[in-house]
Amino acid sequence: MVFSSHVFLFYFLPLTLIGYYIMVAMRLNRSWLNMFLTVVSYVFYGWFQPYFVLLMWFTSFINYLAGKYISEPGASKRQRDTALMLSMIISLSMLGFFKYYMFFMGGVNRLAELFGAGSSFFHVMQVTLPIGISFYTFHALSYTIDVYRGDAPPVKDLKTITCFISIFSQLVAGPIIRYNTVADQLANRKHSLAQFGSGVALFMLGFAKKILLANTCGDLASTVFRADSPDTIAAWWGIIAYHFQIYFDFCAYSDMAVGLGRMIGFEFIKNFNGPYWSTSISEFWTRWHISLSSWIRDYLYVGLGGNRKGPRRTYINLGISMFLSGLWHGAQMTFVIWGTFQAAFMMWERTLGRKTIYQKTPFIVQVIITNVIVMFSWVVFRAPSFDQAVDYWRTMLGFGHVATATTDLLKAQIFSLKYVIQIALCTILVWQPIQAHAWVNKLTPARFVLLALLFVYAISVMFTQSFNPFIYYQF
Amino acid sequence: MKHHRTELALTVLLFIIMMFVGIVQSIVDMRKNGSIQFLYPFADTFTIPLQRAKVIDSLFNTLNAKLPAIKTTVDGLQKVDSTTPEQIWVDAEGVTEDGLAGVSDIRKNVFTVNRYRDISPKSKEILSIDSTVAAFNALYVSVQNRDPGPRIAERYTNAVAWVEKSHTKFPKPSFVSNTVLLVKNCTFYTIFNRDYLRKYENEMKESSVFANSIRPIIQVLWYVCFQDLGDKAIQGAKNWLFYKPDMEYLVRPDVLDKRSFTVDPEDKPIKDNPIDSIVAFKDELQKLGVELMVMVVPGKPSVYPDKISKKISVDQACMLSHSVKTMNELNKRGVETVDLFSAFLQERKSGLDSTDELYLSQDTHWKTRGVRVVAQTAAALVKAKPWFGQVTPKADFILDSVFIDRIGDVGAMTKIPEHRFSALQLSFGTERTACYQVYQVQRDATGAVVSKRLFRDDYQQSKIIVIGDSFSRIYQTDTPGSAGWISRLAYELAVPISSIISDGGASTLVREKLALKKEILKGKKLVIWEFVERDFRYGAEGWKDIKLSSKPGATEGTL
Repeated sequence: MVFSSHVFLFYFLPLTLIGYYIMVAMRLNRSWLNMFLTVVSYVFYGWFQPYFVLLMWFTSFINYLAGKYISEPGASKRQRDTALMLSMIISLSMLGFFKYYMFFMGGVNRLAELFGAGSSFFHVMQVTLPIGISFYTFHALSYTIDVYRGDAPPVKDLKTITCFISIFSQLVAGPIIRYNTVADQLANRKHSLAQFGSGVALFMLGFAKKILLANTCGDLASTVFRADSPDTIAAWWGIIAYHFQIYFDFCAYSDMAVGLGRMIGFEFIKNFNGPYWSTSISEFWTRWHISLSSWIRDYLYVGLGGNRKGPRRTYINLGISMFLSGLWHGAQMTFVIWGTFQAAFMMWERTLGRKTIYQKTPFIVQVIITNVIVMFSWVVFRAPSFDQAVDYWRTMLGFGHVATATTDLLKAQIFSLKYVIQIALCTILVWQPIQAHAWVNKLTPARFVLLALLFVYAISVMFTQSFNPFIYYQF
Repeated sequence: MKHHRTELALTVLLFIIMMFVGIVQSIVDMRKNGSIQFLYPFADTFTIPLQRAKVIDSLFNTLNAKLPAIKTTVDGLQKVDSTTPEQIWVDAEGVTEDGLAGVSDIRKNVFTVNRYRDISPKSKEILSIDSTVAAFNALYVSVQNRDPGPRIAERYTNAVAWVEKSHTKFPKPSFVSNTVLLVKNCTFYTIFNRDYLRKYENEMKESSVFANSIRPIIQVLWYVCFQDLGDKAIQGAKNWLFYKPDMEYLVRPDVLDKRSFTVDPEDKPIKDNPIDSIVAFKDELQKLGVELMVMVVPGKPSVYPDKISKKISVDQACMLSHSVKTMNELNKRGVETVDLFSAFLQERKSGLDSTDELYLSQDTHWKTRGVRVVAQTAAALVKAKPWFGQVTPKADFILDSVFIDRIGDVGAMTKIPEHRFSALQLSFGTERTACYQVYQVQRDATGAVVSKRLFRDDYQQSKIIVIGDSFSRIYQTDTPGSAGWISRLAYELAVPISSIISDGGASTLVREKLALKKEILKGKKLVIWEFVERDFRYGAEGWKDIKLSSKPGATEGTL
């Protein structure tokens, strides 16, 4: 189910909230509430493909068993290590199979082709990617690793971990929740009107961002990225639209997820912190998809030794982390290159002592340059293939297609009043100083009116839109 | 509570909005259909399958009850000879037809599992029922043909055997069979089935009273604020409207470009190569001794790009389309094409002062001037065929003018309510256009017309058959009738013509229709296949290979 869909908004969500608060009113213990949340979350997840629920349950079960063995009194280090390794191998194998099998086999076939075998030398099965598998696998792994490291107590029963992994609010597109941050809340969370209300506000704001900003920008970006021969101006217009689309889309989802979490008594971490205000790529990664970058940092980069083993090893660890971060996004060479692109800039900035070569320019120039670098990286993130990304980069730099009559047709379409106003509005909203989380924490009557109008308008617009995907659903 | 009034207000607002839509929808559903759409999955999962099993069982019982009567009739036919009164045959026809109707009823109930799902045509149940239908049909036909008694008895025995066999596929309702049925139903046809859930969700969205009421209002608002006409339409100069997919086809890479095969996750890659499919179709027709002529219709933005962008001149019209390249590719592969692109360009250049355009301003289709150009261009190619001189019979046609008022299809797609058109100063209303209806006439010896009737398809006599989409339908079967390019082509060639039209489905669906009626290709010389250029990319059902030369499938099962 998608948050911005009819079935979620008008049926699933009200019924879930009513059911949940009836149970709260009946003073049932948290275990019952968690079980209820698990059931509705499985409905939410199964709406896409019912049988994938079994896969998610199996991941929960494996990690539950691993946690149990790791925390067994008297368990030896070897036993604990084995349990951790097994759970990681099984969880990552499932992720690997569903997400990377076709990519890997495609690579093997291309290699075989180089040696003179046919391009389909090995038969490649068509595997459907379960939505959100990257997210819930990371949720599950965080549990086992946290228990292994002693950062969190093990769960007492299977239903608690199934609830932790499946909570519908952040299940398919994050933020990536770490077990140690919600362990207490699973066992003992409070519900208050203040928390519920701020959750509603955040949800409404996220919903409006998604429908009113992200979808329109996405429509524009898609038109340009799919075009035959955009010229330099059109290419920049397209990537600016995508720059805004991906931010508003993902940030909107995270806001809605955190908002929904608050409505059911959870407090999840903030996933964005004004990323387009960054003055360097290293800073960008402390502000963008914070839950992923911190997960990678704490569970992978630190696990590899971080910066404790000398500069050379630090660069290698950084490279590996960003490479895998790219691969986490999708089984495509474009994502790997995107991760490597980010890693290259971060390494460069590290060699300069966590600085940039443009550090001496005014703040606003630093922000602009960083945004331009990020935009160049979004090209490869958005393009369906590396060839098309290179083509797009060339066009952006003025070495691309010769403008034709169809370029004029494209420009007539993309420079319409709607899109110009849209991009102007996004520019203002991205670089206005107040972040959504801070804004909803202090709700005034004026803000209530604004939110109400925005939400009603966004719902009305939702009914007219046919373009309504969440970018991060595919990951 | 006092300190959190805003939070409380927001919470109340959220619930009001969420509940309001669901409750209003449920009331409307209840009034309209007597059931609530929200509850459909429960009914489809638990109630409907059991009802369906009961109905099928009762229909089988009814059919079984009819069998003795059929047997008696069939036994009676064993002694027939040339002196047997006709009434006996007529009664036998009635009895066997009744049996056929009974088994067809069963098929209908077996095929439809629930509101959103049909049973697979390859399932054992449906194959068995189809064979039963075929067996009963054979019995009925046998009686109609007045076959000898033993032959009819043999067919009856076969039909009864199929009834027995297919009845075993549907066990009598019992606790065990119902449990198995419910599990099977959940697993394959309802709440655990992805297709069911998608269809249910889509219908929920499409039939939402709230969405359908709000959509036009928002569309008006967006037009007033942003001059935006929504997902389907683009506004050009002087209130000309263009269909967005027509425009996208031009702006996106050629369908043979490798970028059309590797696309982003939200897009659909080109799966079937249209060139290969067209060449394969030509080969199929060739096996039957029929030639193929492909007519790619330029979309309106191809012909009038200058109405969309001031930077484009009339000289660039038509030639900016990828279709020109695709047609060259077709020519290289031995497929003959009608080049409407050059013809329209020439017309546009020569008719710059004319107010009579080739296309309607608020519709995706052409005007009468376009119809004439198309018919004349195609006619010139047909007349050059060596066999054309020998084509008989010839037909005598005349033209008669009539004016029609047409509401543009693109204007309608904007979803802006018609009554708002004038308020918004949109001239989306009706467009008056002259049409030329084609009449077939008979003359006396002096050449005076003695009778006339509107042109109509002549499947028997024609040597040329046109297959096409809405461009073949407009003015032809639409108002005023017999004034489309097909009639006009018949007029230009003075020969009868027949046609098969599939609106929006000229890439594959229209050929499937032709394949189903392939006997009409007998004696034909030429198929003219018309489709709009955007179908290269967006053709409904893609570009499937359609076989014409294969033998028809078996229609009668034999045990």
